[in-house]
Amino acid sequence: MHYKEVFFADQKFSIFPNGELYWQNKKTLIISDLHFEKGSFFSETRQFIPPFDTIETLRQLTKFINDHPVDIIIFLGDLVHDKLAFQRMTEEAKELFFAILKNKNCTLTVGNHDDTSFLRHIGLNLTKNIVIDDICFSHYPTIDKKFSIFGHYHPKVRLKINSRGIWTSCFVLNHERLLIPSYGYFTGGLSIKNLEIQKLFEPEYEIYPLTKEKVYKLANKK
Amino acid sequence: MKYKDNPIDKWLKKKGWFLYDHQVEVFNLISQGYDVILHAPTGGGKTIGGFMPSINDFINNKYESNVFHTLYISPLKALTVDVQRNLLNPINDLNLNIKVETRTSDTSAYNKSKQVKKPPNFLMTTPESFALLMARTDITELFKNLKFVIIDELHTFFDSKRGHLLSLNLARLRSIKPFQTIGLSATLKDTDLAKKYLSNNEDTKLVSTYSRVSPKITILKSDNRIPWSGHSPRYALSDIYLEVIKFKSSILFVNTRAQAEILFESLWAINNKNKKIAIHHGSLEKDLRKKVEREIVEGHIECVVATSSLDLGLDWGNIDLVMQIGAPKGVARLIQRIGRANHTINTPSRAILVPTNCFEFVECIAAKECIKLNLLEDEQYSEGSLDVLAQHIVGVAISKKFKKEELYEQVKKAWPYRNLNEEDFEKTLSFVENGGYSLQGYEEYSRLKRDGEYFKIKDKSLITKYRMNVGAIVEAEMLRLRVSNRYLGNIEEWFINGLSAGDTFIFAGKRLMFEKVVGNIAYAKITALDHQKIPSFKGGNLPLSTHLSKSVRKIFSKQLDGIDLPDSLKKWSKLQSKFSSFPNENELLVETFKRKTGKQEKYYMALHPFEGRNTHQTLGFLILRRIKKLGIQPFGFVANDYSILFSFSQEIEDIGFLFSQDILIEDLYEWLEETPLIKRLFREIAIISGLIYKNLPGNQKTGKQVTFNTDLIYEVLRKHDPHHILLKITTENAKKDLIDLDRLSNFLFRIKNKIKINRLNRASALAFSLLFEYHKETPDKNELDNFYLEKLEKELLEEVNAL
Repeated sequence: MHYKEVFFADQKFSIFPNGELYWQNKKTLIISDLHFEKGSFFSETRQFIPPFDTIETLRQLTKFINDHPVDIIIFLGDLVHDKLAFQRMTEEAKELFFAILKNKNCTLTVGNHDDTSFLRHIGLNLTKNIVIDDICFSHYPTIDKKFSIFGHYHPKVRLKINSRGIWTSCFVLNHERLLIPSYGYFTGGLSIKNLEIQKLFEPEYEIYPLTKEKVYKLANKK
Repeated sequence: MKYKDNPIDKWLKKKGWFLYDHQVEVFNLISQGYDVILHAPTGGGKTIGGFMPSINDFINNKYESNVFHTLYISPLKALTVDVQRNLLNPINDLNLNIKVETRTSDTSAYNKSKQVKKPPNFLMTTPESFALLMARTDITELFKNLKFVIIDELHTFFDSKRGHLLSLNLARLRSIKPFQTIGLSATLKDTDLAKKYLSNNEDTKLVSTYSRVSPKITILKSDNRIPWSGHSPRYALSDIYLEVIKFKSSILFVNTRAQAEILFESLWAINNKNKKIAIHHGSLEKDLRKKVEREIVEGHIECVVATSSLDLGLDWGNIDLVMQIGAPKGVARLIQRIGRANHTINTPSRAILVPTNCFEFVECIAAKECIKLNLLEDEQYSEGSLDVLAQHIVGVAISKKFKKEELYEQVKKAWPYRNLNEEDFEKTLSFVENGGYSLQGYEEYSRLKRDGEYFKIKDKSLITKYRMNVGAIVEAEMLRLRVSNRYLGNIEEWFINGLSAGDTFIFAGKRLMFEKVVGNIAYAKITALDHQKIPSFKGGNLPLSTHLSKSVRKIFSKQLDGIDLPDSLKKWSKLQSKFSSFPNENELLVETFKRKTGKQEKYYMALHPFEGRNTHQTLGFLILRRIKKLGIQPFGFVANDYSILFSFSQEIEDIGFLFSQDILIEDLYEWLEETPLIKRLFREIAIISGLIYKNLPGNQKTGKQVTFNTDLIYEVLRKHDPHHILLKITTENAKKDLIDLDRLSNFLFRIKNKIKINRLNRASALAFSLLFEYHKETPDKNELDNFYLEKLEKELLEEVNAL
């Protein structure tokens, strides 16, 4: 599997095409914004989106942890799309997910979609943020810590290639901050040109656009 | 009842006019109880012919003033207004007490509810507004006095999803209240088809009148050289202008909105006589379009550059000249356009064709010939699409509870759905009910409730969603274009996405500089700068019709002999004969040559099937795969209506291998599953069927209305539920619309063992035009994306390193 290495806070991380951030030295996998059961959420408005997004996301995750040494998983928030997500999840998806929870040390830094009343009972460590080697992991960017790795924004970038534009999701980073894209199957995204993201990363930052098989690297031209 | 007693007859006599025979015949057949199709050329009095039986029946039977008596349905909103106006003339002159109103998406909510409480006697509407009317709970009461349904521009409904929607609702209305149907059309070839579509009734009568005067068609003469390639009429611009100033009023038809913008601007640049020239196309803001339409009628505008937005209907009667600029593409279409000039039956329409390149010149000759011999294309028709059925079922459920078997029988009475099998019906119903997924569904969130044998809607929130999303046309994502403080129209999102701030483009004849996008509004300002891009508006260009293609092949097979050609075409044809040759009528001409571009030497293969762009696109992708199988790296291909040109890395020896019919069709299905085109189709089906709602209450203000990426839905569905009904619909639609499977197979059959290979040293005259075509298709988008991304990455990194 293709990946790209980045150095952040003097640590070596690897970026994978599906949106995994892998910290090999700590055998730690960091992913964000899985939004379980986003598809089925819309059945309430009578839009019957195919309910297969969670299983897709989980199969992808399972494959990654089978292929790489992983002891710790940090979910950077918005694990579920809404508080009833687990009730709608299929048995197969639940089995896959609970197997991961059982075998790995899993932490969820709670996001705005996460309903803790249920999530606290399933073997997840719940926390607002977690600090490892000076790096603060959380759903939202942490302003008062030196290094922050976070999700929430679902960053995507528009690339103009060969006179047409394509959108891809991406990682964004500068010396202090690292923004992780959404790992969920049906999740939309926010352009990194959006002010919310810009004000976190200006003036100088790097973008890692993801395609199905590969990770690329672009530097912001300023 | 004799037509002599008819108030309309009296009115015409008073005016010194008379009824045409065909109008009398329609009247007589209707009084005998038949359904009738009136096929008469533009200017043939179709409106009067269609409404005379209604008016007569209404007056003579002395109906109460609130009786809803006649329903008129047209494909165009503008036409409902136009016909209402035409009808009000005799009604007002004769002081008849008949109330005529229109009901379209332009009608205010207040007027709509007023109309239902106190219906007009004659109601003019569109298929969408009709569908909404049919989704009311009180339809039995509303339609209880209905006697006639009149369908205008009947031929536009045979082959469209709108036609399916209309047909389903007509079948349902018939089951509630029987009525007589009158179909009107100016261009009909397959009259059997028309009868079946109209009422699925063998007794339907056809009244047909052919034009007594054939149109005068000429090809514009220009002293300048006709280009070998491209789609620009620039070479003949001054000749076009000379014609425009000769006539009091003219329409210049072009094929795409981009062409309209360019021509409009170029004409104004040389408009030293200050002719009042306007532009009209479907992307312009409604107010701007209406203003142009009104000013044409009032005679304030002397010349209008238009796309198909002015093809249909509107009866102006004062246009002296029609020009068709660019290829005619189809005979029926050309006749329809020519018919815009001179709306009276006894004077010839006058039209001038302006080809923009040598191929189009040949196409113009072919079209002229076909019109002379009255060879029209057969109308296409399509089997009822199940996404439309899904939408219809929701409408039915909102209106009334229904029994499954009864609905199935009723749907089958709609002609496009006559072959619908029970399984597909059930699957569609189950999709409507709760998504129809095979392994797990949304049973608890079901849209429909079962009540014994009956189905009905579960909650009322569905009604608003249905109302906001009804319809069978899905447009590309559009942004509204705002310049200073007014809206100019709608522009495709993908076009705006390709612009950076400061880029200039033309829209509505104005030079604009792009500024920014906020929500679903694109902002731009007027600029004097040059170097504009032109919004190219995908889908503005129809492929060459099968019929015209045949006629073009015939002309080429005779090496353009016996035709009065301008010098530039004579040269073109001579060059082709000298360095290559022309194909026989049923042959496929294949030419190979190599060319050096920069340092690279490329090998080329040109095919000249003359089968239209769609077929060529598909064929192109298939041949590309075959070339790969030979172990040769293809670079890509370009296709137009006449030819396909491939480029690749080395010479191909075994050209015959590329065309074996069986393998190609096998490849086709593989290709079909992967092509990005099919995802575009899926999006349309997802929206029409109600899988996703384009509009939701309170959602209009946010830019993106479709919140789900339908590409992802398509992929996940294929993986987890490959037999899902929406995938079946997508494949069926693709076979017909995307690849025109029938046409492709016919072509492959036609050329079997009839491939003529010319190995050349240089590009022939026929192949030359394609070397300049812009839209190149490549072997694999993903592969190429990666290739360019890598390049981009390298360049940017170099830039960073250089800092």
